Amino acid sequence: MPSTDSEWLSGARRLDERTLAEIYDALSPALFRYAFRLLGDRQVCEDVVAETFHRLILALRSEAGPRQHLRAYLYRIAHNLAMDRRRREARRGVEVELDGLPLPADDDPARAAEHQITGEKARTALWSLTADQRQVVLLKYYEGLSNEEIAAALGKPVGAVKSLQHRALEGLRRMLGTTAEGDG
Amino acid sequence: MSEADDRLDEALSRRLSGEGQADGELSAYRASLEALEALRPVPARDPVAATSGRRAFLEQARALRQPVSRAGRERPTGWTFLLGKERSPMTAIVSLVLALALAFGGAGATAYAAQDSLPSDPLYGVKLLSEQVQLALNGDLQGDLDLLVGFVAERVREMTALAADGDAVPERVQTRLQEQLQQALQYAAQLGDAEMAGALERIRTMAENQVRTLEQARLNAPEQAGEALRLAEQTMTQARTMADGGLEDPLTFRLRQGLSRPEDAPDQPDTAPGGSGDGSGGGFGPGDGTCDTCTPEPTGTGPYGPGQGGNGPGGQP
Repeated sequence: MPSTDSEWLSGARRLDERTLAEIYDALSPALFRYAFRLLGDRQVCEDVVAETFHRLILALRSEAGPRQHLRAYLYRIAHNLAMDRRRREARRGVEVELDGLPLPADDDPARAAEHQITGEKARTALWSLTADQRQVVLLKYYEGLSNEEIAAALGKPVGAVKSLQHRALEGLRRMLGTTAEGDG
Repeated sequence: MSEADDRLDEALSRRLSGEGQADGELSAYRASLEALEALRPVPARDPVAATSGRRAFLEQARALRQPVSRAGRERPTGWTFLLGKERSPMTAIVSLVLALALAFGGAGATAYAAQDSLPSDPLYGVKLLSEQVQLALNGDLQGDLDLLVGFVAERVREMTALAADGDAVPERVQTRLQEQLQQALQYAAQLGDAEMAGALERIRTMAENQVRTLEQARLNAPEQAGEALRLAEQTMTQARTMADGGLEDPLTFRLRQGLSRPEDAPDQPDTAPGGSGDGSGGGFGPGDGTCDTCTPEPTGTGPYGPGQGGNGPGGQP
């Protein structure tokens, strides 16, 4: 990564356009991926990304933004926004038509269908976890953040992150393990 | 439990770095880890949406930047602006600055500073005029909506800053806040379903943030300003309710905004309205909605003293 969080934050606090553009270019794809794994709708996820950066601007403006760990801070906002979205859709009883997961080019239709179903099961299982457990899985497993960065995103010590990770895997095993084995 | 947590963490780290398989500590979780793999690939982003999001972000930053100290540093200057390729809000502001410079001789340099002025400042009218110019020149509904949402947040910032200084909040600020919110909702109603939902989400989130800011500001505000903040809070709450209503029932929302669904909207549902709305638009505030004083004077002159801006925490996760 060309710039450190502290360099980014220093420029961002000055609302320096070049720094902000660099931050957006570097982090918005990851935030989109993060939101997509939670919500599965491209348009909605673009909105989540846009709102996340909008909130960053508001926070910088009010001098309440992150002091360090910018990435972790943005993931946390995106996660909260995704949760808000999910809750609201659940309250409204909306059945969202999800965008399909990308498939390998050589996949046959049966395998493609199975891939989609497995993906949806995984997403449902993720939502069955607590918010903190879910963030740990997403940030560690998919985004490759270190335990320290995840701890910063959650505002918890590293030991708690490991414990959350353990409980998350247990939860996923209950939700997915037997099903996958049974299906397979 | 802690040792088990550590062992599992090490095993997972090895697996994620490609050094190990889902065996040993991870064997119990093999099936669930394999299932999670299905979510690893993510479709490509819509390049238009990504570009538009980037542009909106940078424009928001530009609009919020402290203008006096940084005006001349990174912004292009000179006549090249008039020949520029883009019609961005900044272009609009600079065009306005040049127009003012021509009309009033040297006023252009101070027009940047107007972007951060308060209703009690002489340049406040210039700031409002520049907002109108930005809207007029933008030419894109989504962009207009983003601008309006930013302007509404700016009205709230002005109110809280005035209250913090112990000053009264002029009624025209309240009126403009209501008008710009209403306009934002109307613009949202003109979008396609997915875009409208996104826009209403933004309005809703912004309203929630501003309610919190106003609540906080009201705690220490003098009585007169406190009442204005309370009214603004009421307005923002109404906006949030209307945005919520639009998310729940887009058809009724559009009808209330006096609009039918746009025919060229990309995501036409089966229940799309066939006709136009009933024209009974939703409005804000206790008054009758008329406003004789809400159009700014281009000269920006007025018997106002200086004020200091301030803002509440809008974006805490």
